[in-house]
Amino acid sequence: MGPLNVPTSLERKKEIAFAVGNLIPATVLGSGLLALPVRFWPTDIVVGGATFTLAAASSLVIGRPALARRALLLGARVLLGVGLLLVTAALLSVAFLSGIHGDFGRGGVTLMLLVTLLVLPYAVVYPLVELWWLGARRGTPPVSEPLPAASAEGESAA
Amino acid sequence: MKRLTVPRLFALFALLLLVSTLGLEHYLRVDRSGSVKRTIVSTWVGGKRRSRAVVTRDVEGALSQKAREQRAMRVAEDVVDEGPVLSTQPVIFGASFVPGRDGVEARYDGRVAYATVDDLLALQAYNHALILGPIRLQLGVDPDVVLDALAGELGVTREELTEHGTFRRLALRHRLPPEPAPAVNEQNLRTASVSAGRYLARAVRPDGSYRYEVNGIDNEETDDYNWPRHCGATWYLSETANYTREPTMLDAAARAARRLSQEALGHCGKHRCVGVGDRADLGSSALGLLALVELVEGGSMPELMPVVRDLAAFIRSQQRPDGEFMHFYDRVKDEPVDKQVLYYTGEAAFALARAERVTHDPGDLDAARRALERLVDYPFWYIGWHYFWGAEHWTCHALGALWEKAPNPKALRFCMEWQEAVRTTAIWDREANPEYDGATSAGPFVPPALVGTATRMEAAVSTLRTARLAGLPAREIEELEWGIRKALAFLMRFQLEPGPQNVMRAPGMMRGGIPNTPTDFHVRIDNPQHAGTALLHYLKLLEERKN
Repeated sequence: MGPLNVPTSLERKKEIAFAVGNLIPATVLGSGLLALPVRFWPTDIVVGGATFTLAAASSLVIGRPALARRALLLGARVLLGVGLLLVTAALLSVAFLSGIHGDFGRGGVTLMLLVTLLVLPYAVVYPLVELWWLGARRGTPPVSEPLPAASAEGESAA
Repeated sequence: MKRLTVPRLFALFALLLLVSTLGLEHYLRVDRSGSVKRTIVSTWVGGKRRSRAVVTRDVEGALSQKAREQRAMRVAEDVVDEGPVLSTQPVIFGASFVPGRDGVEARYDGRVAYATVDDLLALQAYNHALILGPIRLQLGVDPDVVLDALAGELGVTREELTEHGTFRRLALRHRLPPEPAPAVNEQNLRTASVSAGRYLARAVRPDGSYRYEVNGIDNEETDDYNWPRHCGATWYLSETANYTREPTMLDAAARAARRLSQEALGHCGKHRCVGVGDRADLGSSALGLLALVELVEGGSMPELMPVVRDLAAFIRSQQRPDGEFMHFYDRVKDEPVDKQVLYYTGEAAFALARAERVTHDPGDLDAARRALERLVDYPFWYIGWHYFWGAEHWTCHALGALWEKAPNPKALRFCMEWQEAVRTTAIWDREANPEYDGATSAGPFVPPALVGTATRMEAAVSTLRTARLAGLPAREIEELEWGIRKALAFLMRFQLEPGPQNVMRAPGMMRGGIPNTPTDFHVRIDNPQHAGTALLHYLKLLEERKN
């Protein structure tokens, strides 16, 4: 069997799952950027850069298995950075508006809660899980690297 | 050790963020229930401020002599707290004030200028929207207008003021005249509803057309005109005229009705319809029918009976076998156009139900009944229907008008549930504006629209009457009525009865008008129509209950 025909291990499946998972926020961020009716260069640079990095990292994970872990690490860090930026901006905005208006009342609280619940799981929790998974595997070789001698021996013994 | 670095950094970030948000909120917060720090006393003539004094005592005496000399209205606004303004950057500055509650203090080179709530109302500075392409962002104040006004007061350029000046937010409360808080009782409801009718009567010109939309601040009119709204306003004017029998109101209603029949009544096939141009719409004919029915029923214009019959026949001719209406009529091709828009089916159902009272034509009743069935018949696959309500006020009017002769329990349930959704999504407990309780929200940081609340409440009153007739459980009825009373209190609070007369050029002309929002004093003719209908119909319910 050539390297391309090696059966995909569970670890490799997880790498691909994270790569596909990263494409979802990349699509949302990219579409959001395109849909914005006005251009503001700091937003364009941060969101455009994040979209590009996430898409490129996912492509690397799928196309270059040897670079998969490093690409996933970069993607997760970028996504977490954007997520934290969004959460920071949202919380400071809420604090500002709360300082000006006092309690918003029931409607305002519901709206803010909805926004938070929409952003937090995808832009903060998900990349944190990804980083935790990568951290737990630090030092172990990527699944596409040549298998250790024991495996080769086992294969020849069969 | 290394593996703990990321969680530690994350925890530190979270802690910093928490401290920053709490600190920012605390830094900006003002205490609106606090004691009076100082009072800004001003005199006003014809909507313009003439003099000003800032005092910490003897508020009663401040500028009294000047007010007498100027024949001015004296107004006192208490400063109950103040807070910082973070920046003069337009978005941050604009969002730094609560509309209708906050004013601005500017200091420059040892001099001080104030833009109080009344100043900002007179400048129309609370109604600014920042337009970003298709996005409309409502800010607290218009930074350009406010900064220009303050710079003018201080005798400097705006650039000098923004560069070297300092700004504070002032939490204000009116002392003179005190802020109104009318109780929801028969007397106040009568005053408010009749006053809305009188506003409309004054708005009818000698030729029968209305002053369609007037800016209460400068008494200027817009150039627009709209026949469906002419018809709707005439309906309410006629109903109030019938209720009060005031000759001026009856005369104004007759002028508006004559204008309608002379200028807007045309032919759609073999029937008459309301419509100008090549295309007639069902909504105008339905609202026109409502107005004319009211005048015929009240006995003031019995000669309109043939027109009533013909308009009802036109509306019936637009109905499809499934109960839905074709909403337009192509007068060039002489054929109905089977397209639907918001409101028209409900308006047609209600108008036919009301028309039957004078035509006694079973066809009108049957057509209205079938339309109402259609309106509340959602397809079973539309699983989200419970959460996506349209503007259903006409549907619930139709329910009420039909109940005695063609009761529809499904429609009653529909309107009860809609009203529950209206109450749930209304404004409650907004700290800066407790007077908004019960109003229909236009967003958490902007003042609510009065007409949006009014349309929901006129439907609520129709639903309340029907719910009582149907014998629904007392708890459901009490909840519905509680919501109505809160929302009607909001409407009466902000009706120009008389409102802040000092900032208006011609307050007498605006009396009884219902403004767009608590800070936007444009009055369009359908504002008093919808609010007046809610107020008058609830008053009639209270009177019925008493008798």
